[in-house]
Amino acid sequence: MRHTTTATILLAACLSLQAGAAATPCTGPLGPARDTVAAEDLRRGAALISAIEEHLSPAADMTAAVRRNPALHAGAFAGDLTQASVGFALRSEEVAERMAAGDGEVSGSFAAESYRRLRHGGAVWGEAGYSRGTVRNVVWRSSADYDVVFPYITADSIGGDLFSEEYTFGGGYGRRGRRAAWGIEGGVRALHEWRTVDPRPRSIAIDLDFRAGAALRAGRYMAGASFAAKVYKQTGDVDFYNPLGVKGEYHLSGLGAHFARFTGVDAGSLYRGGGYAAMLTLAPADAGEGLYLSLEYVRQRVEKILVAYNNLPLQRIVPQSVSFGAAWTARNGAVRWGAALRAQYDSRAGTESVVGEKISNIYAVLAHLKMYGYSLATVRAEAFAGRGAWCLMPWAEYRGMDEEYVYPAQSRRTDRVAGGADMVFTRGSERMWLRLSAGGGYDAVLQGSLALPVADIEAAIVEMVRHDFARMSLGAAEAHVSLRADRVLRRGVGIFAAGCYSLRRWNDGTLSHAAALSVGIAF
Amino acid sequence: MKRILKAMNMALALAVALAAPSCVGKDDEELFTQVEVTVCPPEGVVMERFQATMVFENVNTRQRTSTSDFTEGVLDIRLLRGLYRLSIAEGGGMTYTEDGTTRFGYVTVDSSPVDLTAENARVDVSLILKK
Repeated sequence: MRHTTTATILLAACLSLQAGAAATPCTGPLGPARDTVAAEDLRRGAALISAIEEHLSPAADMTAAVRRNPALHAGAFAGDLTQASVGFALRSEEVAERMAAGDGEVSGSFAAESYRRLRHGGAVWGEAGYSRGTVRNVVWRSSADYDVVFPYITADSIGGDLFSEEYTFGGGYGRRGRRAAWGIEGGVRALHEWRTVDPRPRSIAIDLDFRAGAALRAGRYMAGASFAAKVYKQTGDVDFYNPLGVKGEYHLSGLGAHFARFTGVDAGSLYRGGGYAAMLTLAPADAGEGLYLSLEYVRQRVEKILVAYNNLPLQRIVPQSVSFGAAWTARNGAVRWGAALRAQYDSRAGTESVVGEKISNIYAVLAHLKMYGYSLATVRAEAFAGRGAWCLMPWAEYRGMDEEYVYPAQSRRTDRVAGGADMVFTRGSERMWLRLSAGGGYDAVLQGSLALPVADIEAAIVEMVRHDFARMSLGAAEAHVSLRADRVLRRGVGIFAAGCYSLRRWNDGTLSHAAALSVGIAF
Repeated sequence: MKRILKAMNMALALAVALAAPSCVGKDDEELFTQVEVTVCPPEGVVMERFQATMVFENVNTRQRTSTSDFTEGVLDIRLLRGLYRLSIAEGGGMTYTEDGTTRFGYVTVDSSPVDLTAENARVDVSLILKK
């Protein structure tokens, strides 16, 4: 995987250098030769700006789901683009939106991505990234990758800052013929998260995925299918340099429930799992205007194993999702427009082991009980309409979340609707490109309910569940602004700077801020 | 094009059908057990009346369920399936006859966990008289 990414970047660099060398005159500084060089320089600069515009366009964003089929990724763009950047991001919340996510974050990162077309309809793409940062005041989470393993989190009520570093590598190859296309891609992500004061969690997670796809031409469209396989593993332990008087780590089971028998300082765990995804896609054969459809089903299975208890399989979560996306992009004269509808249903079923008595250091599993259920239905409609330098992008979204634990019976439900709009201003020339975007929206809660039998649940956990629900059931207004400026230097190589800032004001008057800055090169 | 759309619709219906069972098990029969507990007096003792609160502690979750709903030493209770440790709450006892004499004595039970993971279970609990 690493080789693929490196090869992609090297290949992209070589292609650029070869093209540059071809355009460089080998004779003296003659006038016509200089003019040729200048013209070629200008052409390549314009090609770079055009590629940036294409890759970062609202239409490309709206049709991104279809490109998850690597067969359709191969012919998705007319322009080649490689970008490498270093960046800095921060998040600050007056009150944490979710205790497990902390109330702030500071990180620095390096990221590179590339898309290059090859001869005979082939294309390669790749990405690599590294980020390192600190999440502030994380409480009720010692496991990494909350979104992957929840609700089966190892957690404590003490918390503190968590340091992390993450590496990502990925790449793919696709080839498109007149009647058919195929493609493969793969990626790996490695995460290391730790804390240097008690309690001291240290988690290492690795995520591998591989996807293959094919597509056939049907009229002016390409109809395709892809299949993906995923592997996930996370090892974690929590050390206490001073274990006297501490309660240790909880093994949460969802909402306010936890596996009380194994609460303590022996918190070594292993999450192990995998899954698959199947996808159907439809896209215009020329990757231009028209209808884009995608339908994807994803199923995973992650098991939590207690290493300290002779590799006892304690809990198992099965996340599944079905998503459907439809987008239409078009151009009528000087007006370019697009509309999209995305619907996604995520569900999680959590199963716990009934652990028998310890006999000869072996814990027998007597039965499995499906105790936890979670579902999230999301429907989002969005559109864009642009003329000249201006583009308006309205959107609306509904999210219905339902979470329940069987016994002691608990449930949490929220229904939210949100809507907003962004106005984008884009100005480009052969050597410059500028995009300024500003927008806002409002996220309203239609209804929210929490049923928690507080007498049967530990007081500290009740506090956490109530805190998270209180934030979930608050409406918020948001405003954001972003800017990206590109400048072509020479030989089709440019530099860019990008930044964004968002402000969210919750209905209780508290504020959340997020900002990011990056500078990089593009060619 | 119509065929493709029709195929996608069918696939969506199939995918939703596959995803639906992932919701939490509403079928309580798979999660709960109906338990009949019979308390057995010590050998040589005739139990006249049993009056106590029995505590069922789930060994894994430490959740406790208590009941004193005994009828002639027999109790029917519905519990979440699991491994339970049974105990008699402080003050529970029985009136019994031994060697022709009727007395009242406080009782306790063996604290070994009991596997209650089957759909139905019958548990005989031996009472121990506290001296």
